[in-house]
Amino acid sequence: MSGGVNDYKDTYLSGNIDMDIALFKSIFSRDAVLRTREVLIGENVRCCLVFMDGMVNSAQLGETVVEALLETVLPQDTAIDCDYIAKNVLFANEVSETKALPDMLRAILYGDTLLIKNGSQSALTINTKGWRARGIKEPDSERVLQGPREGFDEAAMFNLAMIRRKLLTPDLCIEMMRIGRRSDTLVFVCYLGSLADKDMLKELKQRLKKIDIDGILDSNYIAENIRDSKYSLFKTMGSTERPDIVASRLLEGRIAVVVDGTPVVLTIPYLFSENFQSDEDYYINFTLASLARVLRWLCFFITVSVPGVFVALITHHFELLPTHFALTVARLRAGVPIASVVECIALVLAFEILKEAGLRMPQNLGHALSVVGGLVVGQAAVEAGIISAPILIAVAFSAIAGLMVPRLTGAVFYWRLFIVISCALLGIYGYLAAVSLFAIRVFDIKSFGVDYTETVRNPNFQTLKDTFIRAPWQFMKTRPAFNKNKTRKGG
Amino acid sequence: MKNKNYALHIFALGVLFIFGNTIISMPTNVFNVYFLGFMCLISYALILLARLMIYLSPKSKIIMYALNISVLLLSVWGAVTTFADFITFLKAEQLPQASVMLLSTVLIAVTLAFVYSSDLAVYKYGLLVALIAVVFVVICFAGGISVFNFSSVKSTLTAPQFSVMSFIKYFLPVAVLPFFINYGKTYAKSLRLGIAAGFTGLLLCVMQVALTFGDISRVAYPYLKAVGVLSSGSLFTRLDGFIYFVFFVTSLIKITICTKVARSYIIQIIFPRRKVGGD
Amino acid sequence: MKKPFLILLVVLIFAFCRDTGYREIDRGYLVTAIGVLQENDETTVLIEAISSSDVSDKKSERVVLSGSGGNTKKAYNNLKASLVKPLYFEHLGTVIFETDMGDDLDLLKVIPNLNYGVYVVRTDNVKTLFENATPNGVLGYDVIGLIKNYNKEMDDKVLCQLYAVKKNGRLIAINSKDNRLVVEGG
Repeated sequence: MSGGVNDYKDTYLSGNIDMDIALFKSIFSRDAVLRTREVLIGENVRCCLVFMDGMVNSAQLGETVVEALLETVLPQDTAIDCDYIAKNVLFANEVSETKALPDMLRAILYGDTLLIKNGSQSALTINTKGWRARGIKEPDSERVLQGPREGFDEAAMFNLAMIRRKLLTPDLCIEMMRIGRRSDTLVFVCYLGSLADKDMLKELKQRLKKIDIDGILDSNYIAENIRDSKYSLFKTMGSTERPDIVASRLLEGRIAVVVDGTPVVLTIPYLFSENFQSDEDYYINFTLASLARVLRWLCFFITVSVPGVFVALITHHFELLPTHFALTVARLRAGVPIASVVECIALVLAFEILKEAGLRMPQNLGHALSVVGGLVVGQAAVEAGIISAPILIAVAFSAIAGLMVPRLTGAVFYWRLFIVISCALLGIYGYLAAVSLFAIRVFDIKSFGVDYTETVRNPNFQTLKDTFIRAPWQFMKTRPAFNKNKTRKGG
Repeated sequence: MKNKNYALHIFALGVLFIFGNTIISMPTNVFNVYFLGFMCLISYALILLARLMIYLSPKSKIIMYALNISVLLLSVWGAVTTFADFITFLKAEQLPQASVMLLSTVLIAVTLAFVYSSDLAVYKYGLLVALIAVVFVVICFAGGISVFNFSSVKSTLTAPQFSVMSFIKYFLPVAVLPFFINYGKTYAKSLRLGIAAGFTGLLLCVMQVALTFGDISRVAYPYLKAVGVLSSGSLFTRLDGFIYFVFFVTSLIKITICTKVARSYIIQIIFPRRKVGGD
Repeated sequence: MKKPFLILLVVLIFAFCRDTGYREIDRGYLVTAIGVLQENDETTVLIEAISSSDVSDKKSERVVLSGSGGNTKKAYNNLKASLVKPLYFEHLGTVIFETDMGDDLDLLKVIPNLNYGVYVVRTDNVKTLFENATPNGVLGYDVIGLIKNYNKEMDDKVLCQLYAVKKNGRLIAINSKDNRLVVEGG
């Protein structure tokens, strides 16, 4: 027994309503939320409604189903079967008939109401979903100053509706599958039929089918199971909580994976240059967007390199420091008891701790803790001579620069630490060796068959127009290089 | 790698390969315009010879074996000499206190990471660092104009000299390049242009040394020393850091290409039927 | 095969970590000027350096160290042997020879990673220059400032950097007059 609905794929309704009710009660014997409501249609047609309390819309259930059943007048000479009830009795907008018990269980578990009839081995699933969703809200992690502010919530159906509102075309394809032995989570694969790469789509579906897991509670469960370079620090699948971003990626020929129960939608393929793109780059003037992009690339370089290079300069290569700067650093480091590299690593860790604490701390404590963090770490430690101001400034600058590239947070931390250690060991040579290892690793990554660093593989204006800068819209003529369907206008 | 256009990448690799360890320790008393021009022509001849051998080798087993052994020896020689030159430079100038074992082990680790990565990754790395290296060389040349003694330009135009040792050490391994890039009509022009650009860059470096130091260019690591005297205001006083980068990437690319070719040819010799070359 | 080999490499790297040349900028003497003179049939080497305090009072001071010996190299070695902190020559500004020393540049061969941009000058009295305080407090850089300003006023540049000195063999003369450094002819 895997504990999922498929355990019952060989079980069918008997047709005897009492036995069928007992079957459902036995399946959900430890579930106090299951409800059954027997209804008599006419004088002798016994039916029973099976549903989960809290998952259904009670008012809708009462009006479109119960009332309809109780007030119906059945004709004398007509066979009253499920098909008749579906077409002639019920007011509900979505009704389907099924014989498979797993489908019936899924319907009940997802908020539909099941109607079983005495003498029938099939049942009707009636759409009465009424569970509460969070509502449309701007995602906290993807705020924009200008542009749409809608965000996904945990209900996949509503999320799909939001995507569909952006792309009013029958070319939008949505394929459904269920993943998770016990959670039976709904997963939708969305793409534009004329744009998406067929091989990539096939590969994605194969990988999704291979997932063997108890439950899917978030899209990251799927991402980690199907991504390329499973142990890489860099993400090879995009993620977003915004429907406009998903729509724009679908228009580029990418494929989206919508997972029920989480607002985070995955997109493939994902390129390295996307780590430096912001959602509002396309909603503001191209000059501002380009400046922001260049700053992000610069900040990435700064956040990864500055602590390590600074350590390299003050421990191995004094000659590369400007003279007065070297004398100032020597004076400010006078008497500091710990080695520069230890100081640097300790400060890098301290900043990560402060950042994590800032994410998790209650808002009403935020101000007080910020003051403590700033004063204690910044002021007191330097004045006490435990740490030196130059390294504190270098690490702080690097940490702030790192906030400009939030999509690379994890990778940046590990590479920063690795580079600091390499620089402490071997100075600039250690830095160059570490950066070369990083580069060659990144250059080898693929995302669903597409080169992660497509820009460097094929450097021309069309691949560069949306990487280091954001070219004006009149130059954005073609889709990304990985898409075989190149033309954007008229294509 | 089929049906893809890597002309720019091949060009970049050509530039870096020519720079290689030459740019680190070139003896400027030998290097002048004529010597470099002559070496450029010899490099073209070596590449043509390599192409001829590639064409002829399937027709004759003797030629095939001779080719395999020659390429293997050349690539191992190129990798080892470049490796030794770079480690010697590191020990002499950049990290005199560090142990040679540590420096060598790190370089071996980086080289292995490159050798075990795909050819495409090496192409991309080469393109990126070639762009940066060329910019650095040009910046250093432009920054040195204020200290140049232009009467010394004559020292770069002395009578043609030919140094057998310099040829064998620095330029003979050029013949390995065609075996790395699956040399064919598509990339022939790019490779030739890259080699020419590499020699032009070398000439720039030689001129910088000659114009800065004049006749006193018999120093160890002349290019590094010539750049070391440059300053721009009080903030940028030593531009050696740029040159550390250039030396590192040019050596790494040359060692990587030679090692990758050597590896594939060792496999070729042991397993003659397996296909040789890049992706 | 690949993984064990990589692990071995990482282990070797850590095993060789003992000798990496790691040093701290505040734990040595940052040499700014070197002076060489002859007195009492002995060669004396003077070194002007900036030394950081050993306690966390964020102070550094200018120090003048001296060593003597039969020749320049011996004097330098004696000086080095008497020190508790290492000498760092990366920011060496000027080397000053006493007039009658001529062009003895042997000392410079013992200095590691010597930059060819170091200024080399001569003077009548090295000790006076080193012992008297100069306007900015650091003799080695004051000499550089003096030469650069002097060059601005001259049509022909005065070449004092090591690579130029090695080529033409002439050393420019400087002196201290009324607590000011002056150049004496080109």
